[in-house]
Amino acid sequence: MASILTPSVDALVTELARLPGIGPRSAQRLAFHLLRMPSERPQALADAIAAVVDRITPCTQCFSFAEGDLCPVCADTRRDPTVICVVEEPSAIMSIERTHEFRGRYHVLGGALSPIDGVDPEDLRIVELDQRIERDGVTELVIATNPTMSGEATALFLADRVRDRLKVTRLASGLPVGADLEHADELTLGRAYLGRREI
Amino acid sequence: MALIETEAVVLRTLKYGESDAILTLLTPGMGRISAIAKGARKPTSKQGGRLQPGVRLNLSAAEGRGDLLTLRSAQVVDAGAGLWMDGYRLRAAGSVLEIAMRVVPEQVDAEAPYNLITRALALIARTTALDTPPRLDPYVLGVQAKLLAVSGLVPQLGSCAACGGPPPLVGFSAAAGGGVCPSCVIGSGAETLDPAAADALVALLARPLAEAPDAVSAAAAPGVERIAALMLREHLGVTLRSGTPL
Ligand SMILES: [Zn+2]
Ligand SMILES: [Zn+2]
Repeated sequence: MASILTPSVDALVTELARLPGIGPRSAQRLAFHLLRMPSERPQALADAIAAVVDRITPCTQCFSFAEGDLCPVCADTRRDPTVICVVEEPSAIMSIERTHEFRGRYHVLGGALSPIDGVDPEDLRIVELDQRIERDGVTELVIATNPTMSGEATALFLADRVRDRLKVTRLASGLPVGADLEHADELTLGRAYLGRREI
Repeated sequence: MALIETEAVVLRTLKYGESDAILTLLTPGMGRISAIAKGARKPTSKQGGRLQPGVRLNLSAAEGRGDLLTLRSAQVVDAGAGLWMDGYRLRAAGSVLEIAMRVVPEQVDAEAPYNLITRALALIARTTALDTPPRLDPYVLGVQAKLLAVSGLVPQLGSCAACGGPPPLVGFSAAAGGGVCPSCVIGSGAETLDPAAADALVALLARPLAEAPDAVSAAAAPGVERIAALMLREHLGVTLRSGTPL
């Protein structure tokens, strides 16, 4: 389809449309919005994007986002290096940090075990996790992979692997706070039943 | 817009957009189908937990543009919660789901594969972890053997697949479609046939899936997996990602 836009606007629309949750129409709307703004605003956005592209590298310790060798969590000496929370992707760290409950450090696996996609243990950063456990004298692993089939398979795999060396905990997966039992789906409830604890 | 009502098992759930999920489903009447579940990934969604791989559902979905259905409602027939209590079971189930996803075609009658896959998931949900990798679990291999049969790809293991001559068969050639005799094996590019694997495959085909653990030993399992993988690659162009690399 021939475009009535200039090549640079076309390119902007194409790039915006690659973002998750943004279709071609939204991309066009965003592009026009940027064009209408005073030029310092889109410039600031462009600079911010250029800065992350230039400066962000994986943290050499936990593989979250860092500028330089270490991410802010790994660089913070007040955080407990002997407790590691294992996540699939850096985005999960943000969610856990918002709870202000966790004072240890993180480890980003870079995905989860998924036979259907051919993701095996070797494809995740498990060797690096083992090295940290040895080096930092880790005493507890908090496994915070997603409550999906692959996240759960990963959690159970890791637990089997390190259980004899240290304490392994898993974020409880069950009924949302404030919800009625009758509204729970069958898989959540079934698992909550099979994993029930004595109180 | 036509409404479809069917039983189905979720083979795969992919994230889509902010909060939707795209499901690949196996159905008895329509083979493999895809459907979008809007809002399924919101924490408040009651659907989310129902739409995980391995869950067996009664669903209704609307036909839209193209092949993608829109999920309207889903009731659980079997949540398969037992799968989720053990990493070995989850990974074995993942292998079964992948086999279904890659081998069962779209939009075909698939009653036999459907019954096979749901039975396998139910068995794996109660099985005990073995020392072998989950991809070599007897139920996983049983599903592979039986799906070969459903696809008309049972390897010929009673007589030479090249000349029809009697045993012994010493090689395996997926191109010839089975075991080959000492004279046909020469220059055929066939690989060595493990007799224990051939026997185990025949036993897996002959016995109900529930008896798969008696049909295949840990020693024979890799050979069975290899024969199935070679047949799938040669005749369907399918290479399982969950399998041992060929
Ligand atoms: Zn770090
Ligand atoms: Zn022959």
